[in-house]
Amino acid sequence: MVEVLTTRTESAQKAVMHLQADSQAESKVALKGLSVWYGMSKVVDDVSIDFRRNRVTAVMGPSGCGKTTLLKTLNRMIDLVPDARVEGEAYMDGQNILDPQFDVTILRRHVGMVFQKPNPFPMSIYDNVAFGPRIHGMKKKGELDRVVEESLVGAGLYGEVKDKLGKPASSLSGGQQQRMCIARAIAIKPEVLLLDEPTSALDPSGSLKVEQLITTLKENYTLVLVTHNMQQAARISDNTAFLYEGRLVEYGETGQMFENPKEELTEKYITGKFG
Amino acid sequence: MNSEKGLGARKAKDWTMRGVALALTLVILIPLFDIIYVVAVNSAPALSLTILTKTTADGGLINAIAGSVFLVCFSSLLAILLGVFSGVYLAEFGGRFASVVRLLADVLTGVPSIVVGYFGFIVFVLDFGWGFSALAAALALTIIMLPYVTRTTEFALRKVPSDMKEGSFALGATRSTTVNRISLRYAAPGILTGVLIAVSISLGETAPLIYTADFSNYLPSGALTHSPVGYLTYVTWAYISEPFASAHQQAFVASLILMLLVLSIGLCARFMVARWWKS
Amino acid sequence: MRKRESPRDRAYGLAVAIVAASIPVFVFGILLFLIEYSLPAIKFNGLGFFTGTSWNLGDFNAVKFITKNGVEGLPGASFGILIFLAGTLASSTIALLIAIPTSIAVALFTVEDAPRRVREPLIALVDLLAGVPSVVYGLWGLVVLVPLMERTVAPDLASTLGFIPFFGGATGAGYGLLTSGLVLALMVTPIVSSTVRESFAKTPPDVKEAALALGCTKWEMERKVVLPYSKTTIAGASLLGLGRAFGETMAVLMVGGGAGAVAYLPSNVYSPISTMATVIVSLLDSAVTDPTKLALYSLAEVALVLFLITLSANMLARLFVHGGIAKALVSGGREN
Ligand SMILES: Nc1ncnc2c1ncn2[C@@H]1O[C@H](COP(=O)(O)OP(=O)(O)OP(=O)(O)O)[C@@H](O)[C@H]1O
Ligand SMILES: [Mg+2]
Repeated sequence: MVEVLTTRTESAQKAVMHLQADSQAESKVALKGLSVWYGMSKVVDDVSIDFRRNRVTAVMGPSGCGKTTLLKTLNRMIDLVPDARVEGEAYMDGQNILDPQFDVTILRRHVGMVFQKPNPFPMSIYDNVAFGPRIHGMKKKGELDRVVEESLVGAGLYGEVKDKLGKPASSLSGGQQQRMCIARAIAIKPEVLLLDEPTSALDPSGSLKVEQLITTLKENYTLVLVTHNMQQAARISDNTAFLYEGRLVEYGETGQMFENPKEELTEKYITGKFG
Repeated sequence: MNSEKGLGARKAKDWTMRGVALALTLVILIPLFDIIYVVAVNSAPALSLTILTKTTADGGLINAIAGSVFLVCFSSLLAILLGVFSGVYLAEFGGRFASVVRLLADVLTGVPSIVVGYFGFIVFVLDFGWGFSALAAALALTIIMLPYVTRTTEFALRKVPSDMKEGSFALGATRSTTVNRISLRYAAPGILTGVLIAVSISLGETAPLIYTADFSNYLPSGALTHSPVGYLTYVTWAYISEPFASAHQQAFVASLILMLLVLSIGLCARFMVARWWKS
Repeated sequence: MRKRESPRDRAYGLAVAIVAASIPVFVFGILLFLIEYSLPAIKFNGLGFFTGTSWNLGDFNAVKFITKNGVEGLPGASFGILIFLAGTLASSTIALLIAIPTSIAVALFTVEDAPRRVREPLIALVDLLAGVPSVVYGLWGLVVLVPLMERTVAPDLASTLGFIPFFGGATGAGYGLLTSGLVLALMVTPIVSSTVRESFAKTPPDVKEAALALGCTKWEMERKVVLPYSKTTIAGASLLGLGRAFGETMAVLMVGGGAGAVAYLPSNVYSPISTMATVIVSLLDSAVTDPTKLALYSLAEVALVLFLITLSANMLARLFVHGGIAKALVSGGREN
């Protein structure tokens, strides 16, 4: 059993500290005192994090610590869970996206999400990627063709599929499906991309391709990457947040955090000395 | 950022579809309540002990009630005997013949009940010479119930945990003992659900009975052949087109009894489904 | 892990197999009986059976029977079922046109919209609807729908939609095609809806989430994900419903207005109709009196055709609905 070390004031201090970290990049999404309950149990506890523009922020922590929940709050997929309750604020470019007045359809157009398991729609590769743009009103064939190509190129998949865009997406390999899901997510030109353990269902070569893709995507997007894989976080993220039992234990630059963690808990987790 | 072209129209469509789905759900439920209401209101003035003491000829229903009960019990008995063991065959012994039986059970559920009625009339009533009779009618109903009892029995038996069966085998029990003592006992509530559904179906049937049971103003004689039998659905069908208000009331009361029985059997089956199937 | 069978087990297996053979015996018994019994009629009637519009037992006072293709009949006898075939197809088509979208809507509402606490009771109510006996539907149709149709619905429809073919013209007495179609729709909807509902509930949640995460509204998600995933089930359930509508007897007998068996093709949606199923009831009494039995044979031919039509609908449905028809019906309740 590991004691929970952080207290409310400490975490508030840390939030201030984190705002200073990585100050070259500006803030894209800022969580302020975010808490989430499922029914009676609090699974995200007073978390404040600043996700930076054009950076990959890794969110790490043991299973069940609330990583997915945190991510789902950022595009309000959490609204779909009947007994979930959210408190606190999340500012995206200065607007509180947790405000019930804030339209989720629009939010999700700006905050894309890629899931743990590839989840292609039962339609062709082309239609999968064109899905979002079509929903959001793009009709012209030429425009759609261009977006589909761009997105597939952006997802590093175009070369592999350009001759079989009409084939069902299910005919792709798992890794290709996952990159297609990334293409599908970036086809609507979001600003933030949420990735929930995007490589956990893939084989090593598939994972590698997705990892490479993530590093190239940060040129244009703000990325939030949930991962269990510490090497992966170390390889491709700029900043890392470490969650434990719903609390933010530590948040800082990835290199620094892996070499020189400030918290005992973080160190234990990183060195694998966790119960 | 909090706006997008075309979003208003998309939202409007979404709300419309939500509204349509709710509205159509209500539209489909209104008749259910209206049926109950109409049947109850129209039979209310006629509800008295007469129904149970007099026959249809004298404004009561006792012959129809007794006949329905008789036919349903008779046919259920046959359907349970045939259906449960057919289900045992499908679940426990099935070979290639089993898939044929399964297919034909599906075919049988799709045979229109009037076709069964016509078959029963020519074959049982005329050819076999049974005349209008409980036997002809009950057999027709059995044909209709059989596939339901068979398939629910099969499904129920398939839900018996295999370790339970293996436990019995391990004790040296034979297959037949295991089926009879363990599987059928464990699956009994599931099988009963199927039987209840079948009973409720046969209770509501008319078409297969018109030309097999005919109708009788007297209590069932107990004779299996050459003796027409009265039943409730007939009263509803035939008496509503008589020109007398009293006949109409009999038709409604017959429907009320049918509805009460069918609804309570349905609720019962549902309760058991919830308790057992989903466990 | 098959055990070596003891003699007792083999006997038991054989016994239950023999019992299970009752199902093939009944199915083939009915089918072979219908074929054999209708054979004279098939010979006598020829293809005219499907194109003829009159059901005429012929001249009972005739001294001599006539012979056609080696089959004896009364002079003037002719048996054509076009009118009944039309009644069956038209009423079932109307029923399905109403029932399919309604079933989908009810299933969507149940799975996607209904609050958790409402869902189970709602499913129970829809299933109860499936359990209402068809004479009770007939009774309700007779005392509620028929007057409503006669007094308001039919005249209103005729005056507003009269320009559409089959919607104008005489509006009749409330009995007829449209009333039958409505009652059939009501009877078929719970069956179709419960099959479809179960399929909707099995839509992979992660794919639904993917659609919502791309900014779909709920309806867009339903249309692009939920419906496509269930399209074969919807097709299968609809065929199942069609089979039911084809074979339904009592309700249509009571609200179709074809008490005797109508003698004309429906001219519009308010026309009285008889169906293949209802005429077997309506015409049997008179058929028994035919000294040549040809009328009885012809009714067997009606039953055979009805059997084959419903059989094809059901077998097609079986291809679509996983687990077979019995399962769909058992888990979804059933009409009369
Ligand atoms: N819909 C829900 N209803 C109730 N509890 C939930 C729900 N979803 C998740 N939980 C619980 O909330 C806690 C946090 O879940 P979450 O999925 O956010 O964890 P996670 O960090 O993503 O875990 P993992 O690494 O296993 O994916 C867990 O204890 C989980 O059991
Ligand atoms: Mg997770």
